[in-house]
Amino acid sequence: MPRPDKVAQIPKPEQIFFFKSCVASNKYPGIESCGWDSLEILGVQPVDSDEQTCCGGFVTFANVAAPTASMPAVARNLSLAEEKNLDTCVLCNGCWTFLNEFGHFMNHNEEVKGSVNMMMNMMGREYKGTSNVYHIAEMYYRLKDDIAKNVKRPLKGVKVATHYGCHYLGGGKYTAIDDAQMPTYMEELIEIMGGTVVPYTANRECCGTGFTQIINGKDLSLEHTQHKLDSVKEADPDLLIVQCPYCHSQLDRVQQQLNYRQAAAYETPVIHITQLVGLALGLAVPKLAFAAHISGRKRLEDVLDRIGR
Amino acid sequence: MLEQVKDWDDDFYEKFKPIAMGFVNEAEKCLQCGKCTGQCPAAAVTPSYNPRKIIRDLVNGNLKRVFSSVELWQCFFCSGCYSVCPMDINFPFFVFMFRLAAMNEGYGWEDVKQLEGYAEKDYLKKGITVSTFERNPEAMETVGDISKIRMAAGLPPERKVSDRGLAEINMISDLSGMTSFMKKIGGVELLDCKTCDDAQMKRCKNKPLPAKVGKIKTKLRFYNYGEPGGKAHAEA
Repeated sequence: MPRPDKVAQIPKPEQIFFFKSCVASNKYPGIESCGWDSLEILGVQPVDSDEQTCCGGFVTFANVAAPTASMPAVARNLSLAEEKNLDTCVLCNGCWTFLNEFGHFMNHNEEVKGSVNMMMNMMGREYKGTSNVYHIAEMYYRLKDDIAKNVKRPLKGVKVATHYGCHYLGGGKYTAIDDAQMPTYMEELIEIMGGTVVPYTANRECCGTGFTQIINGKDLSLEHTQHKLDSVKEADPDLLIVQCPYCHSQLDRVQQQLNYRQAAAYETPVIHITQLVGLALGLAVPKLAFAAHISGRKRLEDVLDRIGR
Repeated sequence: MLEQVKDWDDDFYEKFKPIAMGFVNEAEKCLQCGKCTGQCPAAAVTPSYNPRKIIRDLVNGNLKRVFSSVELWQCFFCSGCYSVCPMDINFPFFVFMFRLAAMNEGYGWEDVKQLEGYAEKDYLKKGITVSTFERNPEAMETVGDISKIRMAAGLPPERKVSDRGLAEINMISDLSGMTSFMKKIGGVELLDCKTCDDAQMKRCKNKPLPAKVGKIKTKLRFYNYGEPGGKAHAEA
C-alpha cells in the first residue's frame, strides 16, 4: 500500500525539470514524448535543458568510473535544475536511484561536497543540494485525480500486468512512496484509467538486466528473464507495464532473442507507464511511438483497435 | 578454495572503511540471517552466489576469497538485499567497492574492458551512454530508422547534448582520473554481427580469457563459494 505521508510530501509544482533517459531517448522515444505531453496535460510544465547528460549510473556500475568521477557528474546534472529553482522529474529507476543516492551522499558529507564543488566552480556551477528528485510514476500517483479527470481513451477490457523494477522501490527503501515487497500504486493508476489488473507470480522479480550482466553474464541474465517471462505468459496480459526504460529494453528485446534461440513463443507487448498514461489521456498514436517496440507488435495493434485510435 | 586461518585479517575491515569513502559501513551489524540470499535473483540462477557469505568474509577479513571469486561479478545490482535487510546494510554498494578493490588486485579486468567502450564512445563523445546503434540485426529490421519514429512523435530527430555539456563531462573525466584509467585498459573491440569476419566469429563462439587487458595482467578467478549453478553447468 502507498504511504500517504510520503505521497503528501510530493509537491504539485507549476514547472518541473524534465530529466531525459538514454534508453528512452535512443531506443524508445515514445517514453520521452508521452512523459512530456502527459505532464503538460496534467498541469505541470516540463522544462528541458540540452546541457543535461546521462546520469552516469551505467559507467559507474560497470566500474569504468570510480565514485570520484561520477559524483561531480551527478552534481552537475542536479545543478542544472537548481539554477532554475526547480525539482527534477526522472523517467528511469536507474536515474532516480543514482541521482538520489549520490545526491544524498554528497549532502551529508561536507568533505565530499566541498571537493565536488571545487570542480564545479571551475566550470562556473555550484551544487547546493536543494533540488529533490521525483520519479514520473510517483508524480502520476500524486496527480491521480487529474488523470481521472482527463481520461479520453478508457482502457476498457484491457488486461494489464505490472513490473515495478528494482531501483525505485528496492534502492529507495525509505524514500519511495510504496512498500518494497508489495507495491500497489501502479495497479491503482491502471484501475483509475479503466484497465483490468492481471496478477502474476513473479511480479517482484528483477527483469534480469543487472546493469552489466546482460553483456558480461548473458547466460545468467537470459535464464532469469525467461523465468520472469514464463510467469507473465501464464497470466497472459495484453500489456506489461514497466516504470524503467532499462527493464523495458530487457523485457522487450529478450523475448525476441529467446524466440530465436529456443524457438519459444513470447509475444507480450511491454510498454512504459508514461505510454500507458499517454494512451489513456488520448495522445495521438504516432506520439506513443509503438513503432520502436519489438515484441508483441500485433497484440499492441489489437489493443489500439479495441480502445480506439 | 579451502579456507585457512592465515587468510583472515582482523583489521582488514577497519582498513577498508576509509578507502571505501563511506559506502561500506555497518557490515559488522550483519545478523547472518540470509534474507538477502533468499530473495536474490542472482542466487536463484547460480546457487553458489551468496551475499551473506561475502559479508561474513568481509567482516572476518577473508579478503582473498572474496576478491578472487567469480561470484563477486555475478551481482545484478537490484538492491533487493538492501530492501529486505533488517539491519539496513546496503550490499550493492559493497559489491561496487569490492569490485574496485578486486581490480586493484588484478581480477576482473576482462569484464570491465568490455564495458569501457560505452564510456569512451558514447558517454564521453555524445553524453548519452546508450546509442541508437542496434547490435541485433533482427531488431534493426523490425524498428527501422529511429530518427523517423522520433520525428513522428514530435521530438527532434536526434537527442543532442550541447557542446558545453560535453566539454564539462570530459573535464570531469580528466580531472577525476577516469580518462587515464580508460587509457590504461586500452581501447575496446566490440563484436557485432553485421561486420563480423571469420576470425572474429571463431572468437565469439569460444572466447578465450585474455591474459592481459591493456597494460594490466589479469588473474584467473575461481568459484570460491561452492559449485557453480545455472543451466550451462547443470547440463555439463
